[in-house]
Amino acid sequence: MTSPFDLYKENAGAFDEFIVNSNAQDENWLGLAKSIENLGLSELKRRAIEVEQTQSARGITFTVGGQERTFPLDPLPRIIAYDEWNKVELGLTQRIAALEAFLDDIYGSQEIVRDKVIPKRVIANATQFSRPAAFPLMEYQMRITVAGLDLIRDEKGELVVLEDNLRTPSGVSYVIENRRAMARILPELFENYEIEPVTDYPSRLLASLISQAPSQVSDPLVVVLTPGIYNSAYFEHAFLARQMGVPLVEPRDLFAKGNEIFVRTTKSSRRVDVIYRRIDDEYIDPVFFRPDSYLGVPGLVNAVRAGGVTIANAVGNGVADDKLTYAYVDEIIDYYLHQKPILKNIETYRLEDSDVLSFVVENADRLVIKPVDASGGKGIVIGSQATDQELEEVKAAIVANPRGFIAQRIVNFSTIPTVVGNNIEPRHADLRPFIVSSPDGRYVVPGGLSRVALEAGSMVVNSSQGGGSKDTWIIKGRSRQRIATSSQLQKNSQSQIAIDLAKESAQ
Amino acid sequence: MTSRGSIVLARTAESLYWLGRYMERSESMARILDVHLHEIIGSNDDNEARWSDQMSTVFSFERNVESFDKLALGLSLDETVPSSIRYSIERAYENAKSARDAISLEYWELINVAFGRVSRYTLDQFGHGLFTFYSIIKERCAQGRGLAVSTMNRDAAWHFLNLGYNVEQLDILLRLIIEKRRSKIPEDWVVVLRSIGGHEAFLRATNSPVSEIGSLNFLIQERIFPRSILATMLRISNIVNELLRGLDESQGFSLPPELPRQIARLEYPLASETGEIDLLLDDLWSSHLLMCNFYYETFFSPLSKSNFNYPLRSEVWR
Repeated sequence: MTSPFDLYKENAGAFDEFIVNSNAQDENWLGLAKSIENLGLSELKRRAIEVEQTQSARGITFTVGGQERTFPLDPLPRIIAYDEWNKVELGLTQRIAALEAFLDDIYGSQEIVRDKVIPKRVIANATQFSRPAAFPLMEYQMRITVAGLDLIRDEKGELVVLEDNLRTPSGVSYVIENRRAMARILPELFENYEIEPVTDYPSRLLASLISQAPSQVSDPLVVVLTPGIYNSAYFEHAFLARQMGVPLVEPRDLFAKGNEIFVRTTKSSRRVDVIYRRIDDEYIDPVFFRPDSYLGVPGLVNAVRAGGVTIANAVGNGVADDKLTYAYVDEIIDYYLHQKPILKNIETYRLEDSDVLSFVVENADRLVIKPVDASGGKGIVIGSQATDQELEEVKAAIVANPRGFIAQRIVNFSTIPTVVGNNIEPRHADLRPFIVSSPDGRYVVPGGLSRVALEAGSMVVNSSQGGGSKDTWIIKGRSRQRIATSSQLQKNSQSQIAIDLAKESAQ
Repeated sequence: MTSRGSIVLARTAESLYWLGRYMERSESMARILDVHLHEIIGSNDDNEARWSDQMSTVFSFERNVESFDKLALGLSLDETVPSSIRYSIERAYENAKSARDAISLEYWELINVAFGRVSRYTLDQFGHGLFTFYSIIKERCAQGRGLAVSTMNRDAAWHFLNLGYNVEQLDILLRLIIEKRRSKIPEDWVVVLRSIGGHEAFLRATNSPVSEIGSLNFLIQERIFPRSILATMLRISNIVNELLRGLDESQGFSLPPELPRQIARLEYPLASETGEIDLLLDDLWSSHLLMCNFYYETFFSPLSKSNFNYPLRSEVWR
């Protein structure tokens, strides 16, 4: 039988996770290829389409430009070995711990600035630095309850950090739904592999939120705050609320009174203790931020400051996922934890230095230029793919406002086998792991969301721009025998039945 | 009733109530329009003009001079007509989405799929095939009701949904009867009975041919017919009593006397003079409106009656 992987070839220059691992005789990837060969690509696709229809019926969607779409799930999972993941997990928790300390510091006494590890202007000029957030938290509160970092695997095959998302990262619902879908697409593999489960996430998040409730409360009321049904991630908000068994509220359901927050119920009102909010800082409280925001709860920030309610994530986290702060994360880890960073950054040019700025302007066509305060891939210019006009525009913009941008080298990040039409082809993919922090410790979702660019050669994985997703499997180890012999086993058991029947009829 | 599950946000309650109303409205409208379209085949022009007039009064409050076909098409598939079936399904979907955490997955899935299907239909696709459209809608809505009944906890969320279904049922039946009373055409009452799926039920219950007074008796106060006004009001009163349990009576949260008064009144035989029946219908209609206001004040903007000076949602956000 010919395997659909026979014709599979990697792109020149990129690290292909299947080719490298199968050349190294990695059992897990070879087992996956073997299973796909046994199943046949057309059957795999048939199952995937069936699952997509179910997902669409259940409304597992996101919204782009007012249109609801399902998030295309590629039926081939991505496999990451347990040992490598252990290291990544340590690196992630280390990074979040350092950034948590950093946020506490800069919204407090700013010792890191006083010790001249980071220039004051980096913080003072950050658009996301938020004065209303400049107050010490209660000891039971966290600033970064949920983080979703973007990792990519570079040309050498090492997972490096591309971006920190510490505000309201989304995507975890797809991780859980994708795993459920994969169990229907490839049930054969679930029997043979020991895959680290992801379904713990909602209960971990709930536990963290409960532990951050104001201390005098014995039975805290936790709510998920969504901007409403037209938000692109509404599915996720409703999903998390249902999975945690807490009310899903909109801003108009809440009101502040005497530094406490209440929710309107059919039986007058109830005090709210913890709010897991999925609304950006800008909109959350018209008293402090945009006065024209209809999505805000007037008085919320004051209630938080007075300790009447906890919100997660805290206000003002944007300053720590500012792209220029990113360029200082190694120093931040060293300063607060006295440790060497476990996860590497991508080489980043800080444009504050005029020599660096002129170098970047000259070489803009070979670099990626990113605005420091945007998220979701907005405003990023990839030099090698940009038009002349775009390049000129971005050059003018960075000269006018060097603090507003950073430049990075273009990373030709790794590819993974992906079903495209009737073939399997390499496609670029990134990885977004999710980290839940609570006062008692941190939990990293094993794996995370692998987003894959469905266009050949494209490096844009954003779902809003035609990206798909993959289930990510952290495999602890597996019984090689079971895969190799599963078809044999079946034969054996069939012949055993035949023998038994023969015996019976003989008697 | 102190467990966490019993917290229903005022907004969620309102969404559930409207979800029920829009689902019921879609189903009732599909049935009413379907029946009238069938009756028009082989009927005379007078009937068509009259029904066209009646339907536009019942459903859109505007006098209509179009042909019945055109009117039915607009009331079915035109999303710019705020009383069309398509519009109702869309509102049902939005309310279901907003109350997503309070309804069951199966019920949600059904509404989501129905909305997806209906929003793909276009006006030109159904030149003469509206019957197919109506049967899809009736089927979907009936399935939805069944799924809700069989998959949802009987908690406050369920009561609000159920309240919406029943209030809409009452609303449409009252409108239909009041409008049909104006035309004084006795043959119309068969059509009315069919329109609410009660023709056979009428024959079985009364063993007599359809007459105006017989139909009115049946539609208004037949206890064993689940869609009659009396039966619907009895269900509403049970639901409201259930919802009021645990609310503070001293703040005025109690069942308005209107509802029990009307129910008691319907227990007695109808007067035979037609003038009295019209008075009764008008009275029922104003009680219905009063009850609708009561739901708002009591459940959906619950702080409006309390002594605190909280800003009302409508004052701040509209």
